Amino acid sequence: MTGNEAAALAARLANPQVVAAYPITPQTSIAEKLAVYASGEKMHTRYLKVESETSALAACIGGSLSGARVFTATSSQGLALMHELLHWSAGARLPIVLVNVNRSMAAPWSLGVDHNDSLSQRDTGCLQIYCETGQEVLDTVLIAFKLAEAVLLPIIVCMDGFLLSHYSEPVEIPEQKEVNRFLPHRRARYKLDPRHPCTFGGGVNSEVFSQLRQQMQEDMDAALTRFDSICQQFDRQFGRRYRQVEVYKNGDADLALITNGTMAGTVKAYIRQCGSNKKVGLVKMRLFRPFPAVQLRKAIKGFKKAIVIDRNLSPGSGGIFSQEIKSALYATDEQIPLVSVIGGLGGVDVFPEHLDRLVDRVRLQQDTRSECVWMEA
Amino acid sequence: MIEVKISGRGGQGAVLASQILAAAFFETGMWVQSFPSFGAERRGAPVSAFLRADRDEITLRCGVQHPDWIVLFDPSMLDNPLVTGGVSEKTSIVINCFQPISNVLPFHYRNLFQVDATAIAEGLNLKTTSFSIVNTAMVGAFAGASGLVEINRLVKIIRDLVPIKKEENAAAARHAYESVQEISDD
Amino acid sequence: METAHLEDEFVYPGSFSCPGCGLTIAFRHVVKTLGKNTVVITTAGCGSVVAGYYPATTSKLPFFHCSFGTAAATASGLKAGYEMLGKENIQVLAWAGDGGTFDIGLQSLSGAAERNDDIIYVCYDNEAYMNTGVQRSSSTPLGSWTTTTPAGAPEDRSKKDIVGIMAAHCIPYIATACVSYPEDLVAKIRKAKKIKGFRFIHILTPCPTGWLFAAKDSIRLGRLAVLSRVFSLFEVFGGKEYRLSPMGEKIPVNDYLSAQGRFKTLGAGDYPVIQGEIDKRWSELIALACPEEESGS
Repeated sequence: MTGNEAAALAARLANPQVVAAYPITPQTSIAEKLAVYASGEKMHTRYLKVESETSALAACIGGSLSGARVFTATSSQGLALMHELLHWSAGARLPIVLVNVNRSMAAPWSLGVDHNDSLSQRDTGCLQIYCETGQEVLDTVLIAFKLAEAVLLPIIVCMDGFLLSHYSEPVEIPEQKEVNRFLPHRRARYKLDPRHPCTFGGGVNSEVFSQLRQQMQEDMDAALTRFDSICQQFDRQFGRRYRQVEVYKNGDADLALITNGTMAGTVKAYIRQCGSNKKVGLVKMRLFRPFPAVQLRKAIKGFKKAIVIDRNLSPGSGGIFSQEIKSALYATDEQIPLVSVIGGLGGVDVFPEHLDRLVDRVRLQQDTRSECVWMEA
Repeated sequence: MIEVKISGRGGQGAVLASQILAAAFFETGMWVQSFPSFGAERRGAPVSAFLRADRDEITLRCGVQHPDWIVLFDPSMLDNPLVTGGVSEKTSIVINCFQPISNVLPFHYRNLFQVDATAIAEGLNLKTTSFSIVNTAMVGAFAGASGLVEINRLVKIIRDLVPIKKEENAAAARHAYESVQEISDD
Repeated sequence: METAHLEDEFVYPGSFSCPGCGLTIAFRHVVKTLGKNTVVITTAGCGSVVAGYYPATTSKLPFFHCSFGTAAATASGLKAGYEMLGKENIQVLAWAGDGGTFDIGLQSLSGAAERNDDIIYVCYDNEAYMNTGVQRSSSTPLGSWTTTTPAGAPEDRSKKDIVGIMAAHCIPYIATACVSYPEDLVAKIRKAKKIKGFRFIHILTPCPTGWLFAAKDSIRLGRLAVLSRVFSLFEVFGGKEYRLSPMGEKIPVNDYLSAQGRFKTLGAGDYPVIQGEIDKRWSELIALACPEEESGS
């Protein structure tokens, strides 16, 4: 099945009571598949045919406040339209799960993948997890529901547009019974309930606001541990173990290629192809928010140099992952020379030979201080 | 790893063809990846679908640069760069054509196969108002030309995956499997 | 038939539309009638994609792609700029589909209409989000299949009355048109051109790909839509004065519905419901157009 089908299936298995989605390429087959599920016996959900993405997330906020489990999916421009409400959902501490099918941001119109859409939302208070394969998409959506409901923050599960959303590949489907055991019904502690009337979200003074944000940061920190324990539980039940950061290398690899999303898959294929000749390894970033600084430093141990491949660009600054990675390694024992590379923007294909040329070039490069390097075509 | 490109016009069923072949390879225990070309897909516009199959897990995520096989539904697309892009000396091609194709091709293919899938499809009344539905015939032809897919398995998958006219589509595949011919260089 | 307007074309041939596409015909007539001193704002949808991919364009007129839902607001801002620069005779055309008008664009449409901004807003209506693969919009008619109203759960809401909504804004001019009646369409655009203030034109543009019929039948489908009064042709002046356009004799809605694959799942019980709805809307429209008379056909 495709990544989109995996996402829709995971959403179905998780049994949300409310789904609100607005079509946008390349997310559309998620919205369509859910419409089919919702119209049949297999899914008992209210499918709101909303008229914009802003309304989609607004409807999810409302749905979540009732105590229901909710789900939505979008992409690029749609996620951008949700921007204000992503802040809102996080501030309102709502466990909304949102699948974002990464796609480059207009203007001009572009359908290919890059990560500017989701990374532009990195300061909203939502968690962000990046997937490489269809299996990861399915599993991560289920993990996301459990994690969101534990930490009370929204989670954006990201998958590359077309390269993952539309690639059909083998995916193992967990049994509904097992999913129910892993992910029981949501028990919302805070909700709008006439039996226990409360007011949420009213005006606060500066001190209270600051405390709430501090609390949010503490909960984000705790989310790192929570993520690991939920992944362990998932492994026990389904036999697949996920980590915040994953390493893929032969024994003596000393150059790390650090990246996220499907690009990690191409890096894996390259590493397999070149064997131990090139001494490269992959450090795959799955979690981006909260930023897995500790696990990243662990993963970097043993590498002498790193290349960060950002499929994104913060214009005027550079690659976003590389900035955060440099920051996490700063003034630590793991601070190694790091070259920041921008590649694959707009969905430009990155082939193993691009990686090979990049690796050769960086090996020869003495000065790694230059701001960012553009991957050659 | 085998890489196959299936090219046709939007609405001719190239994507379904790649899914059928993917399922066939998957059933033999191979890992598969199948995906369409991306971009505006208007009816009648050139469209390609791709398939990778390998013994081990395929982690590669990018376009198919140099296909081992091209399965071409519409001979009018023969010199379209969308079809010919990436042709190398290892590329074999199966073309739907009723006229004998010889050395009029702009490229030298490793192996050249031909089948009149349009006639097969029309003979079984497999058509819409716009096109003859040649996709199932063409997957049958691919099976016959490449020897990579067993025809009985393919026919069973067609019956499972094709939404309508299951028997006719299965018959089209079998017929094309039997009638696909290699065209030699002389 | 008048042919003077055929002299200049403002579209280049070779658009990316599907064979039989209704909206490209509509666009051609609209811009030809509006003429050279026109700038086009278009939003996401088939209309933006058929205009072409870089480096090609089908538009001879200046053309800007804006974000989804902001066609009216963008057009308003553009016109305001022209007015302030002393170029108020440049016409601004907002060209948006039903998705970008009825749904995500409704807010900015209402704002522009309420301000009576001096633009022409044309909604080409193919009754679903066609560009992203036929998902329903609030323009999708009752009983229609789309990918988000699949078999088993077809569209269960009637088409939103966008003209009623626009009439409530009391804008100077509203017109409905259909690509199958080009002289009527051209006459209405010509009329709109001469009026100042917010003008709203709603054009039915049949879509073979999404409505599921053969490409060659687009014009015929449009005629059936009008004849059956599924889509009536009329004008509204000042939000109050309704004027019917000449249409042929009314035919049963069955003739229209049965010609399209998207209504294939309608059961025997559905046709009378739809016919009843059409008849009711038609008599309401007649009452609005001829308040002194009893009924018409």
